[in-house]
Amino acid sequence: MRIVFSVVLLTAALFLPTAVSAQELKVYPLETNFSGQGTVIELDFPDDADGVPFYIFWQTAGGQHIALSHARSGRHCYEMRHRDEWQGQVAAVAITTPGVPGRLKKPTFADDIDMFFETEAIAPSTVNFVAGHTLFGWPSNTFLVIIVLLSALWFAKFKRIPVERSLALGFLLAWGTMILRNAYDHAAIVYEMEAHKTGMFPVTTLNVFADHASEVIGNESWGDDLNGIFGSFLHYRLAQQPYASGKSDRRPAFWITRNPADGQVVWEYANYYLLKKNQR
Amino acid sequence: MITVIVIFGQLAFDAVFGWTLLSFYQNDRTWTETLLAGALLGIYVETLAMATLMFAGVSLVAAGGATALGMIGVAAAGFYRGRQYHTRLSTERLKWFEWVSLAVIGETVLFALWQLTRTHTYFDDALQHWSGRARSLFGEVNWSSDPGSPFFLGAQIGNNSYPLQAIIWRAVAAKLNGAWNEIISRADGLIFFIIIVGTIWLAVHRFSNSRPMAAAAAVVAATVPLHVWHAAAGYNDIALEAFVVASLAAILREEWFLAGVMAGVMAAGAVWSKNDAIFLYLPALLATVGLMNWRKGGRFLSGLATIAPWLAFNYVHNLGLAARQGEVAWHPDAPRLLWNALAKSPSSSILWISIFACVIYSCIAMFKDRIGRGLIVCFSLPIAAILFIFSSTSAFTYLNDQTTIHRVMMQFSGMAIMISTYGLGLKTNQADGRKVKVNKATAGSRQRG
Repeated sequence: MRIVFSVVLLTAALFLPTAVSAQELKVYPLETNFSGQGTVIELDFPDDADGVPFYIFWQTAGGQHIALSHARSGRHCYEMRHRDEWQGQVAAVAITTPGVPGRLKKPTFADDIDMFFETEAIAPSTVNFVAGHTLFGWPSNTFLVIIVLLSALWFAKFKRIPVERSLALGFLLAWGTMILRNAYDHAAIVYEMEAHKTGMFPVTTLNVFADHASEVIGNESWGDDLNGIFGSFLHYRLAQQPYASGKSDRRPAFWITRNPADGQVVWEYANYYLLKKNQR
Repeated sequence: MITVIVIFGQLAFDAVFGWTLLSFYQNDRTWTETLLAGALLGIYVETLAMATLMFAGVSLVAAGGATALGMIGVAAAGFYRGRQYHTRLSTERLKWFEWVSLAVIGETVLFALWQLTRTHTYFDDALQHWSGRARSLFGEVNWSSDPGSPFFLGAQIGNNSYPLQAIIWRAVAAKLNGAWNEIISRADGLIFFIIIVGTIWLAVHRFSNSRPMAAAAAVVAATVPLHVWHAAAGYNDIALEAFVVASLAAILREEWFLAGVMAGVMAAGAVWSKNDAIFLYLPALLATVGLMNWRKGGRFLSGLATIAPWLAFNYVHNLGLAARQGEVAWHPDAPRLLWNALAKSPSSSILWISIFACVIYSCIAMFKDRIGRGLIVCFSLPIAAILFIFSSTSAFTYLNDQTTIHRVMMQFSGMAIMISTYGLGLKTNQADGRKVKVNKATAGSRQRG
């Protein structure tokens, strides 16, 4: 597939880790110049792609927008209708995974049900908010409120239960529905992570790198130039080994970087480099 | 396996100490209430005592040893003093809906356990401020008590103005375990989660006399969508919530001799968990005590005063209490964003719509009730504080990018569920011609010896 964009993502407000938002990503186009109203994206991922994270990128008159999503193997729709930035005219939409055929689509009833049962994968933003689910393009809260009202009406009219108790029962019924949906999500997350060993995006490879780097560093000092969640993760993983802070009088014996030009590489993995520094 | 034994051992040690301390005076608690409050009290005393010694330059290991000896000494002295009022161990046969409730809560606990055992520490604040600093303290090479050091209280990895409760508890667990691991990094979240759910269940049962209502309140608290993640995230919002809920439960028990102090100590524990508690919950808890029985405000404040070592240390070293300093200015987008956060976000689902409806529906009945008046204020002040902070200060950033607003609402959810359930119970009992009263059927202590 032809690469048409190479964008620098500047939208920290879209909950990307700082370093992810700062790096340059290659994106692969799906469609240009269309109205997003009522449309979703349909993608054909290969069978072994389950759980692989990717970004959906789109451009409107209001600027660049990006959303993190996770692949589902086979042909599936990916919900966009609930996003304010998707409404109206869209100049272009693209994804960050190469070689995946995709298209825009007005979803069928089956597509809507399929999207409702899409698993909410663990993301760095999950601790701050859950993304939730949609049904027919509407947020699930809308349906839960409808369940409250309809069931309360039923309890009050047909079971002759006082209104306030009917509303309380309606709330419990709606809340129970939400519990069941979330329990399904929990089970699906466990299954997908155990079955596909997808790791914790975006620190999956850094996790492997840090394990061995820690062994190599031993009791010597280390420093780094990683930032965002990558820096946080590395600092946590190596917190028991002497860190050569710029403000301290420690000098780093090892240096962790994504730029291998600065010294002797003693270990590398997935574009992370452990360099041996010359002590001065 | 050793890790699990260590964590349970440390928790049991804290709980036994807390139980002993709470049994010094005649009380009206059930044994489960004493156990949950005792665990929180033990965690608070253990970590604050250690921190106080460490502020004086004592090492982690020495502070831990001295604190453990002190706690054992106090517990032993209390035991041999022979004037303890132990709550009776008793159980009630569970009804079907309580089994269902336990199954629902159990699912959440199981998912949190899976996260603890099969995933690693992942979320940013845990990597930095909480587990990052805890691991630095455990390793002792990237930690310093010297204010001039770049490693002062783990400043190189996280914000050193954040209190030390979780940091010390996790570091002690790792020392006892002999190594740091990813369970120790986050397990306390699950402990606090269980304490929140248990405390709400028991408190609602006590004031409503309704087992279905108590079970429902516990289930709703347990299944607030963000809770299941925070039970294993390594953040301390859930610890703050546990202490705030315990403080309100102690206030509602109205055992003013000890529980008045206990409510203050639990409020202090909330501050010791996260500085946010000072601005968001302390005024509300204090006002509630004042409205319910203003003469007992002194007891609450005496309990609250136990946090003085941390606040004094923080003040002396100019660490600060807010993550972001900034000017007060109105943000026009705030009402829309707050509406989205409260009504539309799946992070709390339809919880806040329902809670607001409940509080509005029952507010007149609440105003006519002595405890209800206190609870209305206890609900209104944090809401007002949250609305003000996120709409009119630089914390608007955290509303706009959603990095904090839902977590703060989660912190408040336990307290809000208790308050709205009280209001609902009041209205329901009014309709039935009954009066809300404290359930003492299964409570009560007896003196040992």
